[in-house]
Amino acid sequence: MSEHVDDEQLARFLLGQLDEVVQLTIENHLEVCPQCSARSAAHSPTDPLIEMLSATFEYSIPLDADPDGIDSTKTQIAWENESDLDITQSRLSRMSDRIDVASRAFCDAELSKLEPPKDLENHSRYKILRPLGRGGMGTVWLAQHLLMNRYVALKVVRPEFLANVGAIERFRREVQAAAMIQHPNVVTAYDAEQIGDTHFLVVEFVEGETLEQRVASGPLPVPIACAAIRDAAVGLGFAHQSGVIHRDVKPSNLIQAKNGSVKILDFGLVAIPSIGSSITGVNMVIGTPDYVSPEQAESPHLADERSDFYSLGCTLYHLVVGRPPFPNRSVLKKIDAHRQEMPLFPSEIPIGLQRIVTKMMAKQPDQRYQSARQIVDAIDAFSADMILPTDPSKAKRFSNHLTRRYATLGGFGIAAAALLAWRFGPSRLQATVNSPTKSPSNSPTVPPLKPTPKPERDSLAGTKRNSRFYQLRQPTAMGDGATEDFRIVGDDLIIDALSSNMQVWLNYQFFASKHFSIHAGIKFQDAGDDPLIKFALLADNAPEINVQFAILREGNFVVVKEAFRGEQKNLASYQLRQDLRHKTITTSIGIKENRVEVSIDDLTVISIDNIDVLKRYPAIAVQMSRVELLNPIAEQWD
Amino acid sequence: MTNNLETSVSWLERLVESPADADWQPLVRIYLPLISNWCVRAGVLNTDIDDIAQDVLIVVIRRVDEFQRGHVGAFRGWLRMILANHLKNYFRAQTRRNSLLPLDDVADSNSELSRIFDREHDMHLALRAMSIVKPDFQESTWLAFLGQVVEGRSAHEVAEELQLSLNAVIKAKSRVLRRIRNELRHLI
Repeated sequence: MSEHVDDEQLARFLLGQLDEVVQLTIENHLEVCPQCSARSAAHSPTDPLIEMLSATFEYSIPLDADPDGIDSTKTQIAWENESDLDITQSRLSRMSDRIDVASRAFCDAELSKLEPPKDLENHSRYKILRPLGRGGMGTVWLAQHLLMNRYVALKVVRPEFLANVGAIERFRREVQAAAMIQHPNVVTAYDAEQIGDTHFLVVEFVEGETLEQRVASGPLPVPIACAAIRDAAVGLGFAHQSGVIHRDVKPSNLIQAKNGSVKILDFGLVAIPSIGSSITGVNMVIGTPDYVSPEQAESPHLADERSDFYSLGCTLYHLVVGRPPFPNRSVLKKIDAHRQEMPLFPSEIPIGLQRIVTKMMAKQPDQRYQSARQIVDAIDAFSADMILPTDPSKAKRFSNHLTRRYATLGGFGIAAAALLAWRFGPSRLQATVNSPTKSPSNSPTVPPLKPTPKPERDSLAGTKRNSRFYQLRQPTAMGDGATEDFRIVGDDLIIDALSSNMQVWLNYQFFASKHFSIHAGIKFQDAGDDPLIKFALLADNAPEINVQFAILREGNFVVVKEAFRGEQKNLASYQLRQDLRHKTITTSIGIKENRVEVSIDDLTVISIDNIDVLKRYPAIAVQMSRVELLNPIAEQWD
Repeated sequence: MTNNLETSVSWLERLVESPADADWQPLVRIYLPLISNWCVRAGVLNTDIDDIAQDVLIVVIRRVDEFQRGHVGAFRGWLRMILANHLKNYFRAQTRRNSLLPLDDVADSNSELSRIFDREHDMHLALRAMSIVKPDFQESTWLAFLGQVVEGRSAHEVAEELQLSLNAVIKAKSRVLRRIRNELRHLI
């Protein structure tokens, strides 16, 4: 079109109502005509479809929450390493993901009316109770084993998967192989049966969420992801020793039981979809495109144990990043990417972990870890960067302390943190703005003791950069303390986070993890001349791990203190420069993406990495892996 | 609502003309969960939900020309009425069960309940359509669309935030909308 676009055409263009030819013509015209371009940017015509689409916005924000969470708090911080582009893309991506989840949820409603196969109605051994879910293979039912009085899961295989005799044979063989694997980290296959036309498998019933479900609401904290993958590696290793390769390791095939341990599902069942059948293209590739190794994508016969490690690496990537390594492309492009592209990591993923994932995802099998044992060792070594508390006997004394308020930390009147009630089991974080929620209290279950490696505690005094990472041992005791800062309501920890005039209520629920998980509550207040920032480092599995950090001014020093197990300790103190000594220092705290930054007087003083901010909700599960002091405004004095 | 009416009719017309199996699938995929959901809420027995849902869908197909002739209300309103009627019949035949929902409200377009139904219907359609078309676009295109249409920000804002050219952002919105419109054309 050499002339300008008329108004009606423009409106139709912006509404997406044009046919292909006209569409292209206008697009081309806009490329060369700044006036029409400006006109189109200025107009936003709407129609019922657009209204419908924009109404989905409510599905893209966390319930009861301010969409941007604390991000929108007025802060004085310059975000040095985070570009605006990253932030916007992340926000929009997360919105996009939440919309996906909402869309799926609508379809899950079908589950309520599923009928178990008629063939199974009067089974002598199993009584079908309710549907558990639907996988690629078919529907899974919760059933009761009548004689043994335990629960099992019956996986009814969709008939098209067993379309030919060869498939049935293959199915039988694989199931027999899978049944030989008995291991705490593998969901045990008990039996396979055929009744009439219905083929089904009887497997161990594991109550819990798959990692796919867990990661749907955001990336998992690094220690939780590592613990999960470590478990999976142990299970894989055992299976490999029995000569069985999984071939379809992915988050939906890893299930986390109530006690926190992770088990692998669907061993040996991947061979069921017959290759080259009329099932959709995705099923023609053994494995799932997001997680399949290059050699396995090329030909399933080329897969060996190391292909499972590749898929496990992709899974670990997904858990810590929140999405698969090569998202948003067609199946073929994903396979290309596995063959040729390197996975990219957001900066908040620790380097040690990036190295592990990269090695697991090496293109050449020879370059990967060669055994599950090596993977377990690598993860343990990475986790051993942590500092561990050493004296469990102090636990009791400390828990007594925690149930009372105590004035501590240099007498600045900081209210004590309370012991936290916790709940064992994966759970979601929720948030409410400006109103406390009431939750039913659950009685906590006491977890079994977990083994932990290498309890070692580094000295922190005098170091400019401090690393803390706790691994814990003892079960938590119940606490019902309430303080100004924290309140327990049922299983929730409610924290008042005050900044200027804003009050945000954060509810915490806790993750379970085999080894540990660490959550920090953040309390900050602008208290005039005595800025105070306090972090509590709290953990499942060990009540005595309740650490508070405070950054406060004592005279001419800015001091970072730690209160841990009833003892206080200066981590670092900075003498204020001469020119700052008479200043009123204002402190602000900002939480964004995976980082919490504290600044004093516009300079970022503390940046806390590896904070897993659950983006759906303003509630924050913070995993303090490193507390770094950046840009000290004062000279270190220690 | 004019837009929805047009698209509904053309798809249904096609269905009536050549009821090939393939044409049923979109209808089933989209509407079965919705209808089932409402049956559950009304308190229909699990074993009966399938039947009712299918009956409703069959009536929709069979009576589509009634709808074309200007039956009051949009497609979804019409669907809602059919559903309400089926539910009424069902519970009339049940001696010991009553509907958990006020079915007259379901039929009444002015009631709060039917507004909820309509809203849910629209939401469901929008979400489904977005999920279906999303993989066909590059991430930056999709995000540009989300920023403008779902978040409601101006093209300039989104272009600046995503560091794309203004034209790229405008084009993204137009193309994604076009695709969604096409998708719903087949689905409604």
